[in-house]
Amino acid sequence: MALLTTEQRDALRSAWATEQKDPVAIDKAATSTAIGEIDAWIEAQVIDAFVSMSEPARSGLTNKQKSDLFARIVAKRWEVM
Amino acid sequence: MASGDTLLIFTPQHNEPTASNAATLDTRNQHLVLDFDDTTNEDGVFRAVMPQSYAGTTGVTVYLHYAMTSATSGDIDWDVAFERVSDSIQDIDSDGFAAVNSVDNTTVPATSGHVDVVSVAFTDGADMDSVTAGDGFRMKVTRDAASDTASGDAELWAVEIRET
Repeated sequence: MALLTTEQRDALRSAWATEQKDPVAIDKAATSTAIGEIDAWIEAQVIDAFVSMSEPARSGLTNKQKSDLFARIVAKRWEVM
Repeated sequence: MASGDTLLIFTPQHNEPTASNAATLDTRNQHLVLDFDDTTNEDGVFRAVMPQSYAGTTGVTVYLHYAMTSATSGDIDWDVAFERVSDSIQDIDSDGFAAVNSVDNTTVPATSGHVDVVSVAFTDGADMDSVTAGDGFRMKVTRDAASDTASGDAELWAVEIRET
């Protein structure tokens, strides 16, 4: 289940779309749907990423800090942001 | 002036930004463009004096030249409205745009850098806020982002007003 509100997803979609310079072959509705699906996947799966960390990171970092690391790794891997 | 003849041409640097939700200047490969958001309805406002050559019989048609920043699918909606600012007609402390005319559901170009041209016709008279030859006026161009489906910014490249 997606946790971001419709307004939050719209704002995220708008910010993302504004920064895209390469062609985007889907429309606003399809992009919003994809954002909701990714949000739902994160809600269901991100805990696996957190528990993949060994100690002392697993208990020494807050979930917010772990999320920050997760986001930076994804950004680096796909050379985005 | 004959039907189809050009009356006025505006480019992005002619825009007079609105107080809120203004379209913003940008460049694309050194082409100056006016960016219109895909979520918030943003405006571009252009000021001119209607040429004396305007016959004032058949109205005008506004041609919008635009490209999409990234979208290659979906559609786009544009609104256009006129505000007559003639001799003792409009207090410029406030806005007085007439109702908009629209061109809706235009499929955007399949190549994001391609410029598409759409047109919005106005009949002479109240439809164009009764602008006649020699009248000052403003014309507001709005992307109806709340209604269209194309993703990302629309880049207004130029606007032409022709005698209809």
